[in-house]
Amino acid sequence: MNYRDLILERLTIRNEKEHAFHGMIVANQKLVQKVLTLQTKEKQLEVVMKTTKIQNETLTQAAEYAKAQGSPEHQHRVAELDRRIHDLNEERAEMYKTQSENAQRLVHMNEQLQKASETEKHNSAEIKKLTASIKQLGTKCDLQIEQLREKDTAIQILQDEIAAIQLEITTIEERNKKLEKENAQLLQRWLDKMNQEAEKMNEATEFYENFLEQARNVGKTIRKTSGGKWIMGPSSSSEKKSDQRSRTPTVVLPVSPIKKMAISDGELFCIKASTTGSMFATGGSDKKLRVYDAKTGNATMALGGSLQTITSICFDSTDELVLGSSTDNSTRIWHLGTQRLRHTLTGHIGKVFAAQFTADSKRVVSGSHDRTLKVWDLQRGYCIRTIFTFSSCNDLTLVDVEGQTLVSGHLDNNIRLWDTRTGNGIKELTGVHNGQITSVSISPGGDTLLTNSRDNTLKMIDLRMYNIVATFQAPSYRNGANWSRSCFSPDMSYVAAGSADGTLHIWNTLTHNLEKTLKDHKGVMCGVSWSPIGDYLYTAETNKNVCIYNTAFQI
Amino acid sequence: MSVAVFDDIISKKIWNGKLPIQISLDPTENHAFTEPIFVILTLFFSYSCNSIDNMEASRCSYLPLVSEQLLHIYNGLDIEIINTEIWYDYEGEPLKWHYPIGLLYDMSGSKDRPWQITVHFRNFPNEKLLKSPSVEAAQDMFMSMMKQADFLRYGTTKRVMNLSKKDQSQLWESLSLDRYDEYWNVNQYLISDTDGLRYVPLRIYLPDQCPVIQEVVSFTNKGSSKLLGDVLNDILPDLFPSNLAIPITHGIQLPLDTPIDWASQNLSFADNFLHLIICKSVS
Repeated sequence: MNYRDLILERLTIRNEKEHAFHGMIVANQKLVQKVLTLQTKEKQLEVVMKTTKIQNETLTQAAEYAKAQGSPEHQHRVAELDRRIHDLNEERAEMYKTQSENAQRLVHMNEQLQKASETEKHNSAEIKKLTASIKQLGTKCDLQIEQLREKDTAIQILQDEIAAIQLEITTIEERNKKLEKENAQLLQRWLDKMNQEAEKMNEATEFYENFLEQARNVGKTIRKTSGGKWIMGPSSSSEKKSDQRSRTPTVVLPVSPIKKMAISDGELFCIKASTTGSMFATGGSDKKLRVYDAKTGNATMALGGSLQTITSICFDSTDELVLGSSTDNSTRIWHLGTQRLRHTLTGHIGKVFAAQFTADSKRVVSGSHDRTLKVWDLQRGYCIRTIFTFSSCNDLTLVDVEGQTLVSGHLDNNIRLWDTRTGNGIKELTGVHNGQITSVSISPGGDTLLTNSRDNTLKMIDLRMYNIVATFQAPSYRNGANWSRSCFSPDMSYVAAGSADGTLHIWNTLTHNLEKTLKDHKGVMCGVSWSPIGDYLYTAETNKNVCIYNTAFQI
Repeated sequence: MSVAVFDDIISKKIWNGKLPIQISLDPTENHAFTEPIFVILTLFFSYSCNSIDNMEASRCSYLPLVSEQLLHIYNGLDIEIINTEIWYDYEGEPLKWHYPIGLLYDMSGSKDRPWQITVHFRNFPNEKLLKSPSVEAAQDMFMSMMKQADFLRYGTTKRVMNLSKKDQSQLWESLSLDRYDEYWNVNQYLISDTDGLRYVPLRIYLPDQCPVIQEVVSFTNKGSSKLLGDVLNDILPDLFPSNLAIPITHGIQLPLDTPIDWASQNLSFADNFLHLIICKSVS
């Protein structure tokens, strides 16, 4: 046998042996399975039994309970009904509550309603009133508007009128200007004519004088009633006649005063002859400006109004007005005809020591110790120019009759020239004097200046060349006051000044020599003033005395 | 002589080899430890079954599969098994659960029919047995043996590895459910190829706890197919050929002129290994 058959045989033998138990084992397995299933069934049955027992118990319990309580349905119904009753009771209680609340609210509402209706009545009444008042106001308003309209129209009319009037004014002004121009031209022509006449007269007088000289030699006395030159303004500078040094003096040196007066009530500060020569005036610490008759020396007026001492006096060109500058910082102008105070020029803040009219009497220049010069317009009444002069002004004078140039003498020993239009300084003359200038006066010709100073000298200064023409001094002459005034004689032949000891000194302008001394005063002399027509010389001393000297040509 | 033909009849006979087993509960283990239930159960159990269970197990199968059946029965009988570390022994010797049952029976040398073994639930002998004898572990061991066999046979494990997961599971499941056709549907791919045969998947067991011999044995000997005798001569020259020992597998003595390739194809266990036991010859 080959291997295969051997193996097969052996396998078969093995199987016989080993598979012998097969049937038995299978049976065994089946039995085991059955046992298992029976056991599971048994378990299930036990479980079922238990549950059924429990159920049985519960059921019996429930049955008993039900028996005790009646059927559960009944139970339910009863319980339910009870509950419902309870609920309904509650509801009813609540309903009662709400009902009472509502009743209360109703009452409350009624009250409110009443109040509301009252207020409503009240309001409607008010409304009626208000509407009525509104209507009234409306009508008033309309009225006002109407009035406004009328006013507007009136305004319009007035404005138109104003415009028309303004036009008229302008045309009138133009006409006025034209007329003024014509007037000026006519004046000019008239002046020219007068000048011509004057010249003719001068020539006549010259001739007459010559004649008189001859007559004098014969021994006749002819008294001049009016003499001197007439220089009227405004005139152009070309018409101004210059001084002729070779003129023979028409004044004569006085020997003794024709009158001596004592002015009481205070110290005298200044004396001035009027422009026409008909009067003279004094001013002093008695605050009054006294005017006297030129010949007799009788006091004609005493002009009051000044609050303090009057420091200088000036008459205007026609002797209508007189001004007095005062230490109360103002300058006052009186009208001589009415003797009433015309203007008070205030504006200086220092004592006013000098003031002058311009030839047209429209303006005044004043110099003060507040270091200013002021130009005042008399028509407007206020200062139109203030010139700052660095030093207090003691005296001033206008160089020309138009009032364009002004000379002032100052505390700082200097003399200054000013243009009044512009206020600019033209020239400052220093070194002329060694003491403060107490007086400046212009020669009648207008080209020479006489200055008096505390250095006890008087100097004549040519205003064109600004050189000193002459110096006047004398050992006996001492300037006694800061405001001591000196002056030329109207014919330029002499210069007069008062000394501190009361001696009147007169120098000859040509020879520069002291020609005459007259001691008629006792105290310090404050001012001399020569009448422009040359017939009188007035002197004043601070101690109230005034002397009048006759300087007219006489035999 | 080369081409090993698939011998259907032999193969079937090999597959259908069954062993009667009598499994007894370890009586020492049924002491009532703590729970009174256990006492009742033990009484109950002793009443019903007298602690014996008879069954038939396939020779090619494994012990964990048997354990499964046992558990099923014991659970049905309301016997609680606290410790699922089941192990068996025959006459005090713990049985290796990763060996096929037929191999274990032949190794034990027992001639009992039925084979009486004891089942234990406690005191798992960790020194002697591999741990956790579960069905999954047995499956893993089985698959590893298959791969070894494949590797030895062809030099690569590609045949086993190329099997789909379904086929791999089918191998084991058909074994556990005793389905010959299904098993061989898959297994034929693994061993039917006659080209590239390299070495024989062969394990030799000697008595008295000798270590297992697994040597490299080629299929052919200078072109011709080797015989079993040649192979044994190569491996155990002292014993073969002589009258001292005989090779046994599947409970039968193999003739020494069996061609080794035919034997490997038809006489292998389910894991495609030839497990040969060397016994003393009974003269």
